[in-house]
Order: sequence, then structure tokens, then C-alpha cells
Amino acid sequence: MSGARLGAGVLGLLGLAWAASALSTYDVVADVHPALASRGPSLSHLLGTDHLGRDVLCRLWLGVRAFVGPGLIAGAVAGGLSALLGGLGALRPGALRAAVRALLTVVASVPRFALVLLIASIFGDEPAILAAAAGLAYLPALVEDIFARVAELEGADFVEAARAHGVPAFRVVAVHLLWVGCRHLILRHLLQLFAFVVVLEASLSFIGGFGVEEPTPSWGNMIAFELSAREGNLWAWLAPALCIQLAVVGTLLAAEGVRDGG
Amino acid sequence: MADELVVEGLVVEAAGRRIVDGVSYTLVAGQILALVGASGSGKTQCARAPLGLIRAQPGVVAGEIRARVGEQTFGPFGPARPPLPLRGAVAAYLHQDGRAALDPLVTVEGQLRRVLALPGANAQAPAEILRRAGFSSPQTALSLFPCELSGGMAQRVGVALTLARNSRFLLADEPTTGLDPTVQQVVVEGLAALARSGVGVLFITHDLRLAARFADSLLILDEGRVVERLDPRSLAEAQSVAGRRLVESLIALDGRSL
Amino acid sequence: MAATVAGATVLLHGLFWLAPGDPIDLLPNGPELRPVLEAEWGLDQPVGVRILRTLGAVAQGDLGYSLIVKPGADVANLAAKAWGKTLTLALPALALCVGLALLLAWRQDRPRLARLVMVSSATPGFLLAAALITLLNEGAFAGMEAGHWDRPGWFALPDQPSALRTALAIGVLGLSGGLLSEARTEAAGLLESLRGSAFIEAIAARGGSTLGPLLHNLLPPLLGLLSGRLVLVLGGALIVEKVLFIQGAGTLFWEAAMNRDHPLAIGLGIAAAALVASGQALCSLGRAALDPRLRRSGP
Repeated sequence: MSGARLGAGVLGLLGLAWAASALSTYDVVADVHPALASRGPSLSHLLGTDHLGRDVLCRLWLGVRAFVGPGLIAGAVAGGLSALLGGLGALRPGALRAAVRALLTVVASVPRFALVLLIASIFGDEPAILAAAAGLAYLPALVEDIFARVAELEGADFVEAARAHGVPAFRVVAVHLLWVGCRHLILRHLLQLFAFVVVLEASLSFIGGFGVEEPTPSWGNMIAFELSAREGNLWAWLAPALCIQLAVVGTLLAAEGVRDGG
Repeated sequence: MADELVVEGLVVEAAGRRIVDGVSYTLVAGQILALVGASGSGKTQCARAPLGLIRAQPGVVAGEIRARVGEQTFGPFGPARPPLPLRGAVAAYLHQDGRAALDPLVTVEGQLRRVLALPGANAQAPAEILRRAGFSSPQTALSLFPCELSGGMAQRVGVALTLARNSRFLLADEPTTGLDPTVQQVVVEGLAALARSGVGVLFITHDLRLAARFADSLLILDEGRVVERLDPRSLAEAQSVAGRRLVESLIALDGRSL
Repeated sequence: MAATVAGATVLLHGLFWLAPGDPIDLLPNGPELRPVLEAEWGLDQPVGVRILRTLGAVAQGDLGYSLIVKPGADVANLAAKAWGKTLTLALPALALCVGLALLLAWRQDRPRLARLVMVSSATPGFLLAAALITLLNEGAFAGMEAGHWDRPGWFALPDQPSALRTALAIGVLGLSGGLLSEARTEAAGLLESLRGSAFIEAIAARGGSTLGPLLHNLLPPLLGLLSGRLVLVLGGALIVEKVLFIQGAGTLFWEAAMNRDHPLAIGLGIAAAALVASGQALCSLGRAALDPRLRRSGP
């Protein structure tokens, strides 16, 4: 199976899980059964139970909510802002593009995790804010690529043709340069951003303090919770760990598979 | 007997197509052999084959390459046995793009010394070698980097590196293409000087006039085959279609008779 | 570089000043400190003036004072020490990553190896670090229970420095988070274009050794590779230090962020930007020293 297909499959699975989880009636607080603690896999609990007797598979499935929403928000922020900045840079190259570049260089010189944490500590640690911060942190690389591609396309035949036909500059930029020319590379970056958000969310929930807190399930805090005790169901932490790895690898493979068509 | 490099029945294939289809030529030390043809006639591969530089797959599928220098014979080499022992000691290759063929991070002097350190190389000083290659102020040229050289100077450095290597034969792959006519003159004069000092030169070009002025003998190449052997002094006697086409384009260009 | 630091100062302080609400109220012990902070931060003045004052202070190396984590301590001092400690992890990790990437890329393109590297290096830093430390702990406990050893020297408590944990940190930093895979891909691309270049072919055609010139010509782009990875490694350190209990800028940053000690957090961020910018400047200088094409002004 080709890497891109595997990646697309993983993304599809994540999407399904996320959509289905909206229908769940799982009560995170009430589902505690000490008597069933740390059982191994069985017919009623396919991956066993964790320390508090909660079904691992169920929490795994619900844990998807922790990063898919933020991932989409981050993508929207990064995609929207990059299109805006890229378009501005294309319309008015020269001083404006240089100014945008300078700003982006500054943003790029602060490590992404640090920027996200800083924004979270100042503006609050809601998932939406973390997501927006992640999108912002990803902006420099994306916009630089857009600028480079737009510069390449300036002399392309179809752009010249559009201009010769009198298509207004704004439309040329939006449709011809950004949409036709850049949409694949934007998608690729957004997928990489999604993988980053998965890792970000898992890391923050694992370490604690920012990110999803118990008892709401997140793959990161599931691992932290189970690792802190010595004996227990192996799958209670191995399953989320494998899921994180699979989600990241799948998303990156899908990103690799976004080839520039035409 | 004079030293010679013989290529016999060379066949080069790439992606199912025969680029070179049975070409034979002999380089004689001290003489210039010109191989003239239009683009796509396979002339570059003819120059790259004797040193095993062909990158296409499957590459050389038939033909024999051998050489004699002094008492030593090399070869025969063929598809099963690449002619790697000919590299440097027997033959050298001059790239079309002189500057790209030089290490961008090292000065001219550094590159000369690197070659002079190889076994069997020349014993002369770098400045002297540059002078022989046609540089009028060798000392200045020694400290230059390739990015500071003009196209013509870069080609002359390439000639100098061949001198330094003491190769018996030089396979020059369109060394004048893309250069100004005056610069072309200088480069070819450098090759002529090489020939006078005993090096056998293969001069690949699509410029018939240049070839005719400097070469001792001339082969016309068309679609991978040698279609004619011409005497440079009597180009008008060309018989082959390709040969006539090249001669006619020359006359059309400047209206003189040959 | 000064421009980047100035820019970072403006950006990070700007974020702080522009946050909704009174910045002093955001601090846990805000009301007590209000009089002091109002004077020091000049809150009665417009944002623009405040930023200029801050720029002036930063230019003199003054990054303010920590409010909660180490009250009264000079942030610039703390930041310098903390990042210094982190650099002792980050720089070896960077070298490990790029060195290994080069080794892996040396052989001609092997798609299966590339795939394997990509999958394994995509492991998030925290996951790899947590897995390793758990393995170590389990091994130590098992050994102790079985009576093999009392408490082995390398099983140090979290608040004590440990050579083993430092080594683990360097390994995890260099090999996780996708760094190795990206570096390998870039290195492979570099090698391929160099190997196919005319001058390498010319050297081979003369019967000379291509290894030296190849490595020499790899150095400038390698410096570029290093300079690009620096900010990623520093970011990774943020996570890895916390998971492996190493006292560096990473753990300090977490403490500052968790406790809302904004001057400290912002100060650490500015220091990071300064580090990244100087790293890039150094690499640029190195490249220009090696490559005459970069020294020429003009085409």
C-alpha cells in the first residue's frame, strides 16, 4: 500500500472517529469502576481497562476530540492568514513583502513550543487559543514557501495570459497564483501542521498544566496516568502511544503524498 | 609509431534508442580530429565513452576502446570492462561548461596543485602550466576562484588541468559553444598549442567553420553514425546529406565560397 | 541579529501588553505588586512608549525581574544560565542529528531506509523520552528487587544531575520529532546534486579522488542545515528537559508559563530568539568564509 494511501486512510479514520464521538454519551466522570481496574483485554473491554476501571478503547476513541478540533482551528488560522499574507505579498511586492518577511523571521526565531506556551500563559489555555497559537507558529515556513512559489509563477504562461485578458490584479492573485499555483503546497503544510498539533496536544497533556486534564481523555494524559503506576494493563498506555505514532506518521505520509498536480 | 587512442564500433543506447550506432575513430597524438554534427547526432557520447562517463542506461552496449602510449598498451575495453584505467593517465575530458567543471570552492592554483599531486602528473610549476595554456598573466589567474573567471578563462583552466595531468589525449566536448567568437578563437588556439606539444585532441563541435580551420581531419556525424570523412581544406567536396547541409548553412551564413 | 532580537522583544512584549485585561491582574500576586509594577512598567503611558522603553532596556541587557518563580531575580541572568545549560544538550543533539543524517544519506537513494527513518524519527520527543525513562526505572527496580544492586549510581533522583539522563536527552533530542528524517532528506538531496555535478565528474575523469572535494563542498550547505535545525532543537528541549527532569531553559520556561511569571517567560523567549539569530549569523559567516560565490556582491 502506498504511503499516501495509508496516510489518507489514517486521516479518514481519525475523521470518522471524531464525527462519531460527537454522538457519544460517555460520561467521563461517572465511568469509574474500581472493581474492574487494570484488567487485560477481554470481550467486554477489547483493550482492557485502566487504573480506574475505565474502558481503554472507549477512552482512546474519545481522545480523538482532544486534537482534531484544535487541528482544524490551527489549519484555518494558518491557511487563512497565509493566504492573506501571501496574497498581499503578491499584490504589492517590494516594501510590503519585505516587511512581512521581517515579521515572519522574528516569529520563526522563537521556538514553536515556546511561542505556543507563552501565548497560552498570557491569553489562557483553552484549546482554541492553543490551536491558534500553533497556527501562528507555523506561519513563517508556509508564507515563505508561498512567496517563493508566487515569484516562480510570476512569469508563467497562464498568469501572463490572464493579465493580458484584463483580469483584475486581485483576481489574478487570488485565483491564478494562490489557488492554482499554491493550493497543493498549502495543503501539504497544513497536514504537517496537523501532525504538529497532534504532538503538541499529546505533549502538553502528558506533561500536564496546559492541555486536556483528567478525567477527560486525551492520548497524552492516558499515557501519563498509566505510566505513573507500576503494575497495570499494558494496553492502557501502549495503545495511546501507538495511536499517537500512527496518527503522526499517517498525517506526514499523507502530506508527502500531496504532489503538485499540473 | 605514434601514440593512439582507438574507438571501434561504439554503440550507445539509452531508453531503447541508439544514440551512437557504430562509430569508429582514431585519435593520433599531436593531431586534432574534429567530430562535427548537429544537436542530437550523438557526438557528446562519442567523447564521453572512452573515459566511462556515460550515465545513460544501459549505456555502452557494444564497441571496443584501446590505447597505446609509448611502450604501454591499454585495453581492449568494452561494455563488460569500463575504460577506467584510461582516466587521467591516458586521456582527459574537457566539459562544455568550463566553469561548472571546476571546484567552486578552490582557487585555480589549488586545483592545479591537486592535479599535480596525482601520480604521473606534470612536474612543472602551476604558473608555467597556465602560461602554456595561454594565460598572459598567470600569477593573477592563480589566485582567482572559478566564479571570478569568464567562460573562456575557465576553459583555458580546463586545458591547463589537462596539461598538468600530462594526459596523452584530450576529449573536448563542445568547448567553444556559448562563447564569443573572439574567445572561441583563444580556446581553440589553446587546443592547437596542446596538439603541438604532442597531445591528441578530439574536438567536438557543431561549428563546421571552426573545426575546418583547426582540425587535421574531420568526421561528420549524423544520427549516431559517421557519414563522412572530410578533408578540412576541401569542404565543398562533401558528399553526404548531413555534410552538404552543414556546408550549405555555412555558405548561407556568410556568402563566401569555401 | 539585533533586528531579530528587537523584533522578538516587540512581538513578545506586544502580545503581553495587548492581552485583554489588566496585565497586573493576570499575575497571581498582582494586587500586592501593583504599585511597584505600575511604576516600573510605566502603565500610565501608551503602549508604543512602553515598547520603546522595553527596547531600550533590552538593548542594555535588562530583561526585567522574575515575579513568581524566583522573585526579584534578574531575568537576563537566569535566562543566560538556563539557556547555557540547554545548549549543552542542544548542540551535541544537533551534531548527532546532522551527522547521522549524513551517514544515512551517504549511500545511494534507498527508499526503504528513508521510509524507516521517517517512521521512527516521527516519534514525538516526549513519547521517546518517557518510554526510555520508564524502561530504565523498571530495569532499576527489577534489579533492586532481585537483589542485584542497592541503588545503582546511574539511577539518580530527579533533582540530581545525571550523566545518563543527559545522554538520553541528547539522544532523544537529536533523533525524535522528525528532525532526523528531514535532515536526512535534505542531506540526500545535497549529496545527489553534488555527485552529479560537472566538477566532481571532471575530478573522477582525471583519475583523482572525489571524496575530499565532495566533503569540502558539503560544508557550506551543511552549515545551512545546522542553522535551520537549531530553532527546532531548542524547541524540542522544552519538552525533553521536562520529561527527563533536567534543569535547563526548558523546565524553567514551563515553570514560568505555569505560574504566569510573564517577565521570566518573555525574557526566556527573547533570549531564545537571540540564540537562534546568532546561530544563523555564525553559520552565514562560516558559509561566506568557505564559499567565494557568497562573498561576491552582485550576480
